[in-house]
Amino acid sequence: MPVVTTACPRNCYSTCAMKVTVEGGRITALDAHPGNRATPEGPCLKGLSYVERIYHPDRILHPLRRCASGGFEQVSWDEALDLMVERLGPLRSEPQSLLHYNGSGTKGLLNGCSMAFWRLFGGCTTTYGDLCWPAGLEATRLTLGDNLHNAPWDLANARLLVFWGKNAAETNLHQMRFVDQAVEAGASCVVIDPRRTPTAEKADLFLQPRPGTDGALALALGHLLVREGGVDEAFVNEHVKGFEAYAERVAAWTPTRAAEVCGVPEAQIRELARRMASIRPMTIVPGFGMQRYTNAGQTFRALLALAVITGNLGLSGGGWQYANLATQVFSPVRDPLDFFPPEKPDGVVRVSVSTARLGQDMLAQQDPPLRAAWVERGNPLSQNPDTNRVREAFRRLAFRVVVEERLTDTAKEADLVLPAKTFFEQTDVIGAYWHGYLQLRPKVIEPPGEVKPETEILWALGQRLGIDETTLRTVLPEPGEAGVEAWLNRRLAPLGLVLDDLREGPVPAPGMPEVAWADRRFSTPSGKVEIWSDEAAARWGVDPVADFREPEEWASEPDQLHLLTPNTKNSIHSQFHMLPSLRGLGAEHAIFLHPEDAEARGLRHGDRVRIFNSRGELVLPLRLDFGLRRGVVVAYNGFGEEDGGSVNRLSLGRETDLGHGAAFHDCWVKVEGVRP
Amino acid sequence: MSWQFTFDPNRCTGCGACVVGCRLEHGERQTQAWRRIHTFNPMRHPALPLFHLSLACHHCEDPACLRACPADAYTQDPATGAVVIHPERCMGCRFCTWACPHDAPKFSASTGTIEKCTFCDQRLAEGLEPACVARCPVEALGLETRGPVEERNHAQAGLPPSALRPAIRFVPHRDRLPERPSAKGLNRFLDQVLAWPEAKITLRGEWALLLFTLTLQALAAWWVAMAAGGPEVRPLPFLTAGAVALALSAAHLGHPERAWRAVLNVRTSWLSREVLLVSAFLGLGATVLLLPLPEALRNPAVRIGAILGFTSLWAVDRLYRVALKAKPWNLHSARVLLGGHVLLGVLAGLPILIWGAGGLKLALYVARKVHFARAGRNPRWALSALRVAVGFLSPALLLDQPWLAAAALMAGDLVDRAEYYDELETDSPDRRMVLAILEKR
Repeated sequence: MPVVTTACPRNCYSTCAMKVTVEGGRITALDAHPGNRATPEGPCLKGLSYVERIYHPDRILHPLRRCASGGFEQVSWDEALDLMVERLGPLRSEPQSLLHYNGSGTKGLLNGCSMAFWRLFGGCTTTYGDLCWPAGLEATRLTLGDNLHNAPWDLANARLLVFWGKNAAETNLHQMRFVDQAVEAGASCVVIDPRRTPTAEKADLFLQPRPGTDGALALALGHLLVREGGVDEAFVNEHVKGFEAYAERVAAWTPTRAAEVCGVPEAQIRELARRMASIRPMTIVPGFGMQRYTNAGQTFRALLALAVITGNLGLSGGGWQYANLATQVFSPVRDPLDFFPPEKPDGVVRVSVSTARLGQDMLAQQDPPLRAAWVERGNPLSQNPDTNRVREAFRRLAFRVVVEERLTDTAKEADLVLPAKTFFEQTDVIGAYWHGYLQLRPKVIEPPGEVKPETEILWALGQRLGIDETTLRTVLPEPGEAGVEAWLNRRLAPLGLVLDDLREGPVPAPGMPEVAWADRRFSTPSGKVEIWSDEAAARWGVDPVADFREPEEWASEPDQLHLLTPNTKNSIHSQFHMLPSLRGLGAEHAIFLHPEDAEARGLRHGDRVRIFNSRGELVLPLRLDFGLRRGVVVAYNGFGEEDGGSVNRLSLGRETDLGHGAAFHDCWVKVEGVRP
Repeated sequence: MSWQFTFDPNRCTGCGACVVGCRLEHGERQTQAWRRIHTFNPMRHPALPLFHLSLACHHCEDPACLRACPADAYTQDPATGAVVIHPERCMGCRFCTWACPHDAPKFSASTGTIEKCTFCDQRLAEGLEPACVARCPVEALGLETRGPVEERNHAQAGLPPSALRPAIRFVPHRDRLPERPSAKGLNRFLDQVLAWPEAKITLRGEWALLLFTLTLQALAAWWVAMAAGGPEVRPLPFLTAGAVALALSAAHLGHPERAWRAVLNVRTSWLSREVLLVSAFLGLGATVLLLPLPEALRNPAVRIGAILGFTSLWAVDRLYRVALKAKPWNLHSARVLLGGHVLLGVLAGLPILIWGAGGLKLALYVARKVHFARAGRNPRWALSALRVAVGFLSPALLLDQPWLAAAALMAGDLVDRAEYYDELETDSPDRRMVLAILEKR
């Protein structure tokens, strides 16, 4: 039985290496690949469910065209291509009326081909910003110059771990091994989260602040560290810009004041400050969710300052583990800079739609207005903020093409659905954002049915549109594996690598650090760690030093609750959780409420409840969560219409203060019972 | 070399990769999950820690399933220690699911047989770890050579106590938080969220066994009454009822055509013993009733039949001991041997049995009701009053008409035993988890 090395390309920290067993052209098993030191025990439950996923009866295996009755009919590729030529061809005279939207559904170097193709088409409109993590990336970039951190396994050397808003047990399971190794060796683990997450079970100190107030908590910790001798003065004097201004800022943030703002006991703040001052090395591990507020960039700068002033940078076991972009070696510009709209438009691709405000901005486009959309690797109708608005904007278009594996909320709105490959069906190379490995995900099986990889779809479309092969070859690999391999080898060549180097297992990206910033040379304008950032003020109009403001959306009525929409172990956004073998493993689509908040509304466990605000509503069963902070309501991200509707019916399209991120969690709702 | 699982609840995050990894390994053979995650404190009560146990079959050294199985469908591999079900030998009686407190054997309605964790014996033979162990991303599940049972930390909350010597070693769970809030104010919400496991034995599911056991009680009492000089057993009703009872007991099997396998494990299975005794009783009964036996043979045969009749009632009562009852004592009013004695007293006109056994039965019934009322369970007073009126008072008033009295007695016993099936429960990790929360809150 052939066993092939591959890697999971989901938008996930872990990006596991795996061994795939193929029998008679079918994948029959997936197992651990020890070559990835970050994931040696193998993939999580989602990775293990790929066999079920790729052979699932609901998978789309043929082009589907919307018919007059509203449903879909299977059509041949010829018919699908004819339809695209008929509907998209005329747009070449005004190409910016076509929206090109791609999400983060699959990693791979070939993803870049699509935009190159649409340039060849004549241009298009596309999005800027990112749904996921820009506020944190930008806060880190402004402070340190780049997003790098210690190798994942180095966390085992930390003596103090601060998991701040990160629920690694569900979103980065493989990190828990290193947490276990650290705590089994006697380290202290602090978890800060309004929810009692599975990660919180590792904590020997657990703080549950009011959502959106973490910046105040961080400033108060800074206050105590400055006051009570927790500052690494040698490090600060030599490597930090702006300490005096910072000290002045935190002077006003007494723990008493923060305890009031954050709703946590002052004693807990003091205890955490005491540990930060006395235990070294400390690693702060912030999550993504916490940087999805309108004040999140400044919040992150405040958090990161704690690792800075305690001198926990450039040492084993210490640091700030937010994002590790060591594998972004294929383009000169790293995230988050490449999310930003270009300073000068090139006249071909109009970068004018904020991903965070997709619905509003699509509707607002003029000269030309949007008439068609091409969507790949994304499901904006359940995953972007304010999905009711996004749906309205999509319905306003004349023609929509969606490349998908199954009928997602977005695909259901399409005029034409094209069957998407899975990562087992075309070779590609992927990076990561937690560990620093480049990994090959080779073609393992033939695409089932009439599935075609995106590059081949675009090649065929280009031919139909009359673009000659020589020109197509400048932006796309030639159809077939040989073409893909040649294309990838050209991308790898500047790094001194060829595909064959990656076949046996993961390869560290050139320059992947074991300990980030070990040389204490920071790529900021001043060469120092900038807790005073002129660029922050100039580019984003925020205070050059981290400050705390309440998020824009804040309770205005007493019975409002703060809605959090976290991810669970069973899904990567809207992928996986529908598979039968995962359905029985928790994470149901429900409303989670503290028992006393439920009681105050006359609600009981199991009741049908309506959760609503001015943007939309959901009706779901109520579950009591005794471990939740009062005043917070939780519904999980990722579910779609078939399960009762996406949580993003309730969120508002609104950008974060830094980085053009999406402030999903600036979101308040009311909850009431539904009469049966 | 025998193996044992190891499990570290400090590391397990409850992710379920083991469950999916198991399915990936066993595919279509698995109609339901063989390994399951059992969570302590799923409601996240702040006063309590939260942990998970990932449990499948523990491949016990003294496996209850194997001992209980009447059909000899289980084997224990001396080399690996794996306890393996052979579905092609299983008749689908589900007795092992009652017997195993760890919930390892799973009945599949689609195949009509039991399925369960195999310890991945094929993988073990190839020198590989079981799929769940190999695929645990956080090293919470492990495999090691079997060590002394007293070093396996079986005091773990969620593990039903037993003498089966499960081949799993637990790393003791440590609550990492030095102090927890008492949060007593939240206890009033526990009733809304405590999830008792679904009962494996229900009246709806076991009505065939209810009728089988009561018919047997009546037939045995009638026969013994005849042996004691009471009314003659008439062939037609006796043999018809016997045949129907046997058919009913076979009909509830997943594979009725394998019913003959029920006698293959007399050595350890009370179900095998019961089936053998019942068959002997009814077989001897048929012989006596249908064949013109000489008096010298017939009289001892009737006496042997009487012994077999009441012995089979005893075996019936005995086999139900694999299940827990919702009351704390094993002697209860619905025992068929007790009911058989009362009936015998009525049919043979023996006051000592009528008033002695009948009185004991009534006392046990009332005690059971009081126990339920105190334990907060619905004692169903109206039904109980009806049961006492029909099953105790009317027979006492109708003693001069033994057949009427016997019918009333059986009607009462029908209620009594129906309630009994409803009350029976089996032990399970989920039940232990709920009990542990109630104890620690």
